Amino acid sequence: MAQASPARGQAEPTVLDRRIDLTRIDREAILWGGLFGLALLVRLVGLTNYPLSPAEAQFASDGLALLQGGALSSGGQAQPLPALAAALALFLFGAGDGVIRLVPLLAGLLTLLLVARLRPWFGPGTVLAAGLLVALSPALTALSTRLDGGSLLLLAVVATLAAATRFDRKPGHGSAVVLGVSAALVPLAHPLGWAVLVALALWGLWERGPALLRHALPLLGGMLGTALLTSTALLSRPGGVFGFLEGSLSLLAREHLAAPLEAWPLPLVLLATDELPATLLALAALAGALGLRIRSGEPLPQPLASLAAWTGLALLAALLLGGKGPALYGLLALPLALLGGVGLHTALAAIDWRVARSPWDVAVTGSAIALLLALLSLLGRLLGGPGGQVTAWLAGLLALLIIALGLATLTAWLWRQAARPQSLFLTIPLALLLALGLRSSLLLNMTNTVRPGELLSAGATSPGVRLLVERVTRLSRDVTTFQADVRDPTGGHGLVIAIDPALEQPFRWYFRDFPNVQVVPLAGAVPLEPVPDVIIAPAGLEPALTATFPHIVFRTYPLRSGMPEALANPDWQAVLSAPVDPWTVKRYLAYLIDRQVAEPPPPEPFALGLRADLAERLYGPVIP
Amino acid sequence: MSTRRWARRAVPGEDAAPNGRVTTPPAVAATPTSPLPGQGLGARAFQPSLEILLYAALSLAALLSRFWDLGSRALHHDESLHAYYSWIYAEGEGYIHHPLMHGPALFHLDALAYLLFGATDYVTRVPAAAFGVALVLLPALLRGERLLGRWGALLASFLLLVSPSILYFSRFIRHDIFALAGTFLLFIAFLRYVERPASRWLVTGGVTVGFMLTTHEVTFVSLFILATFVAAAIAYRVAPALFLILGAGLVGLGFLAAGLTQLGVAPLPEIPWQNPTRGAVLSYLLALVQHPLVVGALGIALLTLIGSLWLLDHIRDPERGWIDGLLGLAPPGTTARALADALADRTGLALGAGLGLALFSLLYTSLFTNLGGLASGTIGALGYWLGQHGVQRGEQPWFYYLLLVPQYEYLAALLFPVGIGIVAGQGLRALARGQELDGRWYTRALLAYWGAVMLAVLSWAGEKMPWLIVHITLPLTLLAASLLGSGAERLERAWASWDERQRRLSVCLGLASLGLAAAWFLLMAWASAGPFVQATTSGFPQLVRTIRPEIAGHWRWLWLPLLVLAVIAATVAAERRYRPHLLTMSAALSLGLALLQIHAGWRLTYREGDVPRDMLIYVQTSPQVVQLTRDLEALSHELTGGMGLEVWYDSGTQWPMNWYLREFTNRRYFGTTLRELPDPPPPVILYSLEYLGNMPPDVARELEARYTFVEYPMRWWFPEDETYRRFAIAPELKNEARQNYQTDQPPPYSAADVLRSVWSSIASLQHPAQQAKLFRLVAFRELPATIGSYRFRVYIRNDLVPYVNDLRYGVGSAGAHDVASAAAQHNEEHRSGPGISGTRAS
Repeated sequence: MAQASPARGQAEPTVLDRRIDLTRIDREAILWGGLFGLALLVRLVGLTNYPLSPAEAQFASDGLALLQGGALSSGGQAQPLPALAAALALFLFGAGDGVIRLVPLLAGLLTLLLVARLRPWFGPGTVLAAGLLVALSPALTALSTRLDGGSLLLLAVVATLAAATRFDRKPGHGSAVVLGVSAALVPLAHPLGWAVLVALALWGLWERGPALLRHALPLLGGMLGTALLTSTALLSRPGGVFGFLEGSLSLLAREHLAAPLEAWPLPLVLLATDELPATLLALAALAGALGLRIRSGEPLPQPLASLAAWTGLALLAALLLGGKGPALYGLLALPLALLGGVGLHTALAAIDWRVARSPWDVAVTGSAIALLLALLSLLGRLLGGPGGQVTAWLAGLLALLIIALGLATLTAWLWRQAARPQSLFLTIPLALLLALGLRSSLLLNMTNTVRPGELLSAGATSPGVRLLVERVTRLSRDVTTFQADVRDPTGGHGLVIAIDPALEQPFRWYFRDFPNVQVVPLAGAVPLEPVPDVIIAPAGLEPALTATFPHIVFRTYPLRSGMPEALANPDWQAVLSAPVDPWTVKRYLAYLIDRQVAEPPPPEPFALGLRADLAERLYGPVIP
Repeated sequence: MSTRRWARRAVPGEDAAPNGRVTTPPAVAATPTSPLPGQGLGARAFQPSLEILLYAALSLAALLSRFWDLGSRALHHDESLHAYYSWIYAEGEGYIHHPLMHGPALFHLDALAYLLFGATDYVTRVPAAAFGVALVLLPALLRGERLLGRWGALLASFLLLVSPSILYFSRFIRHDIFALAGTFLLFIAFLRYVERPASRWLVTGGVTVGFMLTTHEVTFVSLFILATFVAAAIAYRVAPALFLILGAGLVGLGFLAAGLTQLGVAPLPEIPWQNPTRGAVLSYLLALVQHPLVVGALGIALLTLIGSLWLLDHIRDPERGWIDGLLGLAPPGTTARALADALADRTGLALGAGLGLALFSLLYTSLFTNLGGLASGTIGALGYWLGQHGVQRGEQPWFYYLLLVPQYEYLAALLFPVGIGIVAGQGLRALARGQELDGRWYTRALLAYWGAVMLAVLSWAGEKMPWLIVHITLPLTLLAASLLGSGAERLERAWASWDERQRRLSVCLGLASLGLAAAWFLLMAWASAGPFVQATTSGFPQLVRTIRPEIAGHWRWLWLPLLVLAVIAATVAAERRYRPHLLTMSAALSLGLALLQIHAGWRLTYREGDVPRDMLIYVQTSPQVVQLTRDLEALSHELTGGMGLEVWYDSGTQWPMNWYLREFTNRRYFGTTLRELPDPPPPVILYSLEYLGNMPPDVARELEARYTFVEYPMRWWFPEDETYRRFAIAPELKNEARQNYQTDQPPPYSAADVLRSVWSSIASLQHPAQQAKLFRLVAFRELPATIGSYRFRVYIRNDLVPYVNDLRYGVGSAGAHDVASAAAQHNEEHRSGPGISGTRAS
């Protein structure tokens, strides 16, 4: 009897049968798993605490426009990769702040994954240590929680390096195409990518020029194809390629090249504060390597030399280029973290962990930590002064002195009992540095206005903006509940809202469901048609607008946090005298912990105008 | 003779040796994998296969997707009823079954949830979510090679996970998810029993039937489907001539009905569902049994039965009993043999039936507190809902599900006709050639039959509601998964045989397929996003979105990406050695459709679950009701220190307000008319616009003087009239005004009119404007009309208006800050000078 279809009585082994032996999972894999978990936690915490910045809101609006067929802004055309990524996220999960930030979050995690691929260059231990610094880096955390193209830029850079590694090991058409694709993504993500691409190209030609030239066709084909498909959104917007070239290059010139040395101290502030752990570890790596070189006469090991050169170039670029922001900081923080990984790995390797089994050695380390804390408290109390309560201050001083002396005695005694007491001491500064990095990254998004000196949050949209938007939305829902048309079929979004172009974003994004939003210049203070119910304008226009729109009640609210003057223009005298001035050191330490500055910057305000009856609902019957 | 007949016939679900003798199919390995040598069960737990890990990931995804943010959506009218009466039950005030609210299982489950976790909106939906998770994982029981196969079962779980309708109604406290899970388990038990008879599947089946009967009356349809499939399979094996006898009976019945209609005989008596008193029910039954159609039908049924019995007696082995003689000779793995084994397994049958009956009795009698529930749960339930058929609640047209399913279940809808074609084609070919088909064909045949009959019955039924879609979605999804699973198996085999170059080519073709489909989507989105212009529709001025003017004359170019895709596919198919790459392209396109389902389901479920932009959302309570409840709770806390705020509400707002105001100790329901206001008047009054005019004038004046009101939608609904109702004429609807939304032609309408209307709708899609409208409706839920709503007013006593505004908008008159004072205050708090450490961050 012929069979119409083969009897499936016996099952063939399939890929589903592959077994994963959980008892034999690599320790390195477990550590990387832990790193990913840590990186995810650090980035998830407070992800949507801050409203979208204007740049983020523009990408969000562009993503929505791309998805629903609207027009892209020039910014969206200049950076097509973030716009396309935002469109994909919005397609899957709908419109929301968290959805928009999913893009940089995933990009940041993928960057960490690709860092692991650099193992052949730096060794597994160094890459693991670098991965820890990448996970805890506040600059990279900031980049992973804001959609400004920086996170995608870093991902593209690391992807290009990984592709270059693969091409180096196995040159061929396939690996050349992949290299071309990843290289093309670099300028598509951010205008700074052009500079990075040039640097990568020069480095590539220097290192592997002949091989690259042999495979130039697939390499360039991959690049051009990627650029074409991405900038035109899969050829659905044919003019996009010109918009990308023109927009990206002009953005690069306008924002980054036209104002050289603009706010040049900021990268140094970043290195000394948010990226202090990576900076110190990187310096330790360099110092150690240079020391070895001096003693042995041998050149610096190649990966370390490359990393040092990369970090130096990145620092130079960060100092010279204008438009200081998370993207530029991220380009500096990544090689710094890699270089710091060398230092961290070296330091960890120098610790004799077997000593940790000895209770005396552990005890002397613990005692030393306690002694250090007591001495710091004592120093802090001395520098703090009595503050009007002399007796209490003296009593506290005495108590701390006694405690410190006691701990010192205990430490000395334990020192004599321990086998190799100095071995574990290195863990103290390492633990402090890593804890500082973790704290800085976690608190970056968790707390907002209570840390007015945070460099990475400077310019962020005030959290109050979203609350105000919610109130206006609720007001609209109550007042125009049944005012509906096909643009707003559910009704409730009937208020006429006029927004000045200077403040178009993020308000355009947050009022996206309102069909009667008009972005019109309000500086001329001319009457508008239709008459607006809500006006959003720069605070400076309030007097003129009050006269033009007498039925509107204006109030000012915080819009954006400012840049602390102490960071933008540091007191160099205080900085240089820091090694000898304990009060400066104390203020610096306080800043490291709390980001408190002497003169918190006032937020940049904006004016919100509401029709009188709406204002009465919001503010009550007595309107000052 | 009988042996030759067994050998000659193509028998679904069994295998035959080359000499034609039927043999027992080889034992199917439940898990064709083996652990590492020398490893025991304990060690195996630490060596999970990839399949197990994928199921673990699916379980986690199912848990998250079903349980996350379960309580934020406003409770639908039906949900509020179920929640309220379950809460009453949990509070100790009892539960009495009524067919209007379907079976008792939901109420018992919800009451139990309230007892364990407290009564909240979230907890209300927990039982549904739990069954939703179970539904996603049930396909694992059909992993056998003769059922869905391992890839098929995995894909079935995935498709159920991302199915928009099943996801949405897994988080909706109605009976459908319970009935659906029970139905699925019953069909699993049936298929597993046929594959290899074991008592546990009999018991499972029995308990499941008992449970299903306590859920929803659609269970009767599911049982009908299973019973008729089993009967057809057995009849085909035992005596194909039975089909002729049955067919003759049905033809006879048809002639009888037609003849009686021609003679002017009155139709069947109406079921007294509205007021089923003992007398009314008895009168109905008397009239029914005396009706000529019933008498004639009984006669025809008797003749059919006699004819069938004669035939069966003629063909059975006379030396054996009826069961053994007819069914016992069937080979293992067949339906007939399974039935014979089941009838022989008296212990299993008794246990299954007993447990099922016990569960049925326990729930219908409300844990033995209402014995009348046994009657209302059997005859009452079926009679009630048969009576509802004539009511046509919702007045939905015959094509309702035909339009609803493809909007959400892209893969299931697309592959359903393919699946039917494959099943029919393979079956006919096997029949013609005398070949045999395997168990997988049998499973697909069951799924195709199940889906087709369910679609037909629900489309015929008078009451059509969107939540019933899940009963159609499930078999269609399983059939789609079976087909995709076979494709995955073939792709896996092909992939293993390919070299590096071929694999790269395959990946490129897959990416190109996905990219071209995505390009088409983006092009259509752009081209259809034209400006809104004023137009006159049905005599009313209205804004209408147009297509982009620049694309007007070039619309056909938008289809270029799909044309290119088709050309690539044709090229690949034409070259035999490249043909397997079609599998990769199909996989990529299936992935694209799955992403589209995620796009549809995520927004529907998590973002706008109570906003009727979707046809799947039907007369939904608006989110303003939830917000209002929160405001009233806050107001109550402020004014009374607890839930003592006095809130009056009318009949129009009763549901869902009975639920939302349940904790307000001073709530007062005043029916349809507010006859007077006490002194002092209540702080808050909720009054629907439907009954607002009932007020006496003096009360109305007092209300106006002492209260401020704001108007909200209580319930709102999808604009049916301006969207899908125009698809075709629906002459079966009793309400003539709702039969024809396409033309001005008055009723009555013939079948030709209906076909013409369908063709007209399909033909209209050649116009770019219609394509654009349909695309934006399905892709972005961009509605061509506003949604309708049932409104109510919230009257707040004037002295409380500032409080309410403060709660609602969050900024009191005393709480207004401007930037300058805020900045000054902030600077003062955070100023740090020399020697001062400053304020530490918390």
